[in-house]
Amino acid sequence: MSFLQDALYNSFIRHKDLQALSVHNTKYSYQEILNYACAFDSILGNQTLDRIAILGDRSLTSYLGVAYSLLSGSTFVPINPTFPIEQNRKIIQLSDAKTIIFDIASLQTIKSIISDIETPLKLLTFSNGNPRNREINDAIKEFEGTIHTLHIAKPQNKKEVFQPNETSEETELYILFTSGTTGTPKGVPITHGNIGSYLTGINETLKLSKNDRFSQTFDLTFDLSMHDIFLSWFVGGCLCVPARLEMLAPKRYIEREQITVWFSVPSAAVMMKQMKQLEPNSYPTIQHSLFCGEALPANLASTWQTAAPNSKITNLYGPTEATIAFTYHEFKDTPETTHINGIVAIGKPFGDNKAIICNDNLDVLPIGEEGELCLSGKQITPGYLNNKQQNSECFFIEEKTGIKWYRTGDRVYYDKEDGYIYMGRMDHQIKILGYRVELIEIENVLRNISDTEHVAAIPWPISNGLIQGIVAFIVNPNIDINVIKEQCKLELAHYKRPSSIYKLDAMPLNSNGKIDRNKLKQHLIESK
Amino acid sequence: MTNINNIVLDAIKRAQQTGTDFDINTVDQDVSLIEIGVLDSLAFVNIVLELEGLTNASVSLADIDPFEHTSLNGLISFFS
Repeated sequence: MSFLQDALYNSFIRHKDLQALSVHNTKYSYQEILNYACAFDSILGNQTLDRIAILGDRSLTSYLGVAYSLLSGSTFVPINPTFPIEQNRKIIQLSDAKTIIFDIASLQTIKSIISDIETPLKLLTFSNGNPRNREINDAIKEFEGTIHTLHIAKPQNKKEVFQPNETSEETELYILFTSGTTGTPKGVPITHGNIGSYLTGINETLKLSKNDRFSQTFDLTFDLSMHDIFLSWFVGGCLCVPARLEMLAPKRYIEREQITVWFSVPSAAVMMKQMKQLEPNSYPTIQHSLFCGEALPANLASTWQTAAPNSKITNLYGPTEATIAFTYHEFKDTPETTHINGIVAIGKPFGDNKAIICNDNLDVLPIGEEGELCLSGKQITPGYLNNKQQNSECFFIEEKTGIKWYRTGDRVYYDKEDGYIYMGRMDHQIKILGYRVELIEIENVLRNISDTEHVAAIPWPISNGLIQGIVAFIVNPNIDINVIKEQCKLELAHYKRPSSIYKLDAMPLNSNGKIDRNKLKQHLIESK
Repeated sequence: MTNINNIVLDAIKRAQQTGTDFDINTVDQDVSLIEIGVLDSLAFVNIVLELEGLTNASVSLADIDPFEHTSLNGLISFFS
């Protein structure tokens, strides 16, 4: 049995009477989850170790699918009802999943996704009395006469408890697909060993317990969701899942669920600030506030600190390929603390994680020099799914040591005190008129003079592959663009100044809640 | 129709996602406009911020409940 499966199964048994899951305020114990997993096993038991796609909209069924995969040694592949149909279909085909677990609310979505798939699929949904028989019967009729078969998992004997199947550290736990440059999604398999190592390392830092109640602001297709799920079950806490709608203004959700561990992208906090949900002392129950997925502006962290005064704010950093997060930095809200470019440091690797900074020739650079952050250790994925080219581009073996490193594409330098300082993406360092320009530096200036965290600088226009200039987007209805432009003249060299500045009512965000830079580019193309 | 109803309706019409076929006048006034796709979450935030400025209601946005206040009637009652 892998360390992860052993630790989580024991946690399920040890905490069987405690709450494991609260889905839209309906509570389920660890015992109930082990019991419900048996219902899945009665249908899928003879075909474990297959890949299982999970389609669900923050529902009990989707989290049961995750728990079942972990305990049975299967690999789950999340798909998302908010993704375009074609993207979900591609993920199913690329991952070669033969089973799909879905909730009844996603029935029409699943029908559209599989309509063009010509290999038979096993479709599985769950009912413990809800959804009702009539809805189940309607679903059965939908698939009659097709090559696909629908099964309903229903718990029988309430005392029955799932017995886990054999797994090893190499067993794939999940595969997440990230957008590839060629338009084909890249599959990132994460093993039991990867997650086991992550949980051990992160909990040495956070020291969470069975009394903790975890937020789940992320969809399953965003790997940060795996932190909430597996860490809460690892320590015997409760995973509290809000409805999608509740994420608009999460104050009531945080109060109702008495959240003690908050985890989101910084953009979610920006939206809360806009909705006046970050007033001082709003969230006294929160003990840990974690941010990841985007650069964390220091001003925003400071506002959050006043709203959640009892919480320790931790900035996490890590790509999907390195399992959730790899480095951490505790934010200190003191006047003496300086923040390069107004951004909180990404800090130092936790646990056994190792990091180096390399130049373009993959030579290791001395401390203080800026270059590409490369990562190594037990959290690194074994490699992209069926993608030799990407594997050779993104991984390399260091000759002297034989260590395998993953190239993050993120530019950093190392500060002895604060650890790694994020300087932007390798491809966000652009050249205009021969000058090297950091978009992050321009965004920091815009942030300061326009009094908002939601700003974006985009290289535009691009002609024959050459960047001609920069345009900026700012979310603040009260600013005067001419004043901002005048301020830019005082603070930015001529080649760094945005040629146009657009005032937006709100920043477009992608499905992971991060600023959607492609949509901003589209906006520029359309307004040309 | 009272003034507040008109202000809310106008704000929704302005923020309505392009490409949707919904006629705001025929939509069930008690269902969430986000769940039926008339608005996305960003459009909703914009409307709320706009209405806060347009109406003289002394409301605290911190009290917004997405289950109650994302319908037409919910928005009207919040800002009344």
